[in-house]
Amino acid sequence: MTFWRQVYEVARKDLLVESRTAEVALMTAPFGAAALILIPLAIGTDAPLLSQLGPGLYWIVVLLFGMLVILRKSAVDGQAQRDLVRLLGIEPAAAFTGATIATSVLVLFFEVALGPVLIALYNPELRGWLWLFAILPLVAAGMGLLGTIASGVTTSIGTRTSLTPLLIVPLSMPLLMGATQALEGLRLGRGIVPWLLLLVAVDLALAVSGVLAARPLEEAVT
Amino acid sequence: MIDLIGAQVSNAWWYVTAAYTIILGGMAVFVGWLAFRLRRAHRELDQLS
Amino acid sequence: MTLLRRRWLEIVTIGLLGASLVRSMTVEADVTQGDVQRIMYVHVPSAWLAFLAFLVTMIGSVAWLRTQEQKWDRVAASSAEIGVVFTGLAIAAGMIWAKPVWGQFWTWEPRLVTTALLFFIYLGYLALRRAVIDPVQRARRSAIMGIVAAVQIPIVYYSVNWWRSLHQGSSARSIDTPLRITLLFGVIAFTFAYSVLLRRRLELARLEEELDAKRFEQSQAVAGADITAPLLTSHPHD
Repeated sequence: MTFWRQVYEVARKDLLVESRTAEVALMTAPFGAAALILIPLAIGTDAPLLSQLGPGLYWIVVLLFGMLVILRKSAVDGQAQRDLVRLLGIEPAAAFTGATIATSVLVLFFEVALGPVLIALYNPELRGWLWLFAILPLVAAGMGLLGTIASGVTTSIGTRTSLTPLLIVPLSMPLLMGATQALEGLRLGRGIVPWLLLLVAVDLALAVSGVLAARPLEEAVT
Repeated sequence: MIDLIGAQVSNAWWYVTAAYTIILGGMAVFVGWLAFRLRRAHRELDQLS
Repeated sequence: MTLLRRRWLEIVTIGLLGASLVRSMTVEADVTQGDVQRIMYVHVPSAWLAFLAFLVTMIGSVAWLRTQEQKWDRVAASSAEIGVVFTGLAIAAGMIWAKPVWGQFWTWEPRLVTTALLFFIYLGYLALRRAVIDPVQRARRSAIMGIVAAVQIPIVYYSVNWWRSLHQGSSARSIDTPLRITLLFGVIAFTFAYSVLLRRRLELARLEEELDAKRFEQSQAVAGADITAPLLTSHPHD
């Protein structure tokens, strides 16, 4: 099997398991939507205020509640699955890339699912919305990368559901910055290219460290 | 925001004392904790051997 | 005399810290800020010590991955712990300094935000270390996390810096020479303190490793050994 074929199979396996449990679609996405409903009740339901704060709150919800996408059941392989993947001769870097793609796709799904809720409840300004086709995948990829790296180092740890978010959230700050500032730039009609470049830079740095760490981490599992 | 307000604060020494107490005190607490753990490790090693 | 020889680093450090403290209290007050500015002489050295410690953690992580020698893991772990403590102290003292000068405990200044995030990043690093039991696995995983974190830190800093610079300019201000010497003195004293703390913390890490190995050894005792080869000095069920 070629490298990319291996990547495809690993990603397909993860997404197949996810499609059976529907954890992100039926549990995490509604949970995130519920959070978007609760926030105005706490900070006030003033329409201009919500329209202004909406995008920022959206990203916070994506980032924090997106942790549940990263921690989902289908992202966790048991010892038996890991042994099987090893015996099949899947390259560690391919396994990492495949898992990252699966998680990123699900985070992207989560982002897209929350979009209409944001628009309906907060009525944000949607100037330059076409840029979202770049911003949403870039943030999803960054979260997928961070999530897969962090999941790799927290495999089979009893407290992984608490530990993984602590490892990810401080490091995901540039993603939040890039996403929120790009939207802010669009709203004010300013250039957003630097922020997109920031997102690309974060994704690249994480991809390189993740791929390089894949082999040593694989050894760590056994 | 980072621009200095500039005015000489009247109770400056209070703040200075608080800051120095935190840092030097914090350092002392850390040293104490380290010493405690060192002593405990030595004791437990002695008990085991 | 033996005490002097064994503890010379500690003695020098205490001396330096004491002298630095005296100097910080007696040097002329800052022209604009007055006496509050004296907080700088412990705040900046603490932050410096913390950054130095995290740098050493990164070096230890890289070195472990290359050599797989356990001593590098001990260096990374010990240094990270010291770094977290001093990051916390630097933030706390900085907030006390900020209150009278800026009128509030916190501002969203890039260095502040980055330092606060560093605190949490390395808190996570230490939590990861606590959570993994097997020493080699712990070393490997934390080395990887240590490097991934270190790679992200400049990006974290630049992204906040960039964000703030769009909104306001920062006003770096130079300080007078006697004040700068005092600051340098503090930095040197704290660097010595770091080396003392690291040495002790490394000793602790070594002892704890030894302890773990001994405990493991004892838990591996052959079943029935008490009957076939009873230990006469102590009862097995004490």
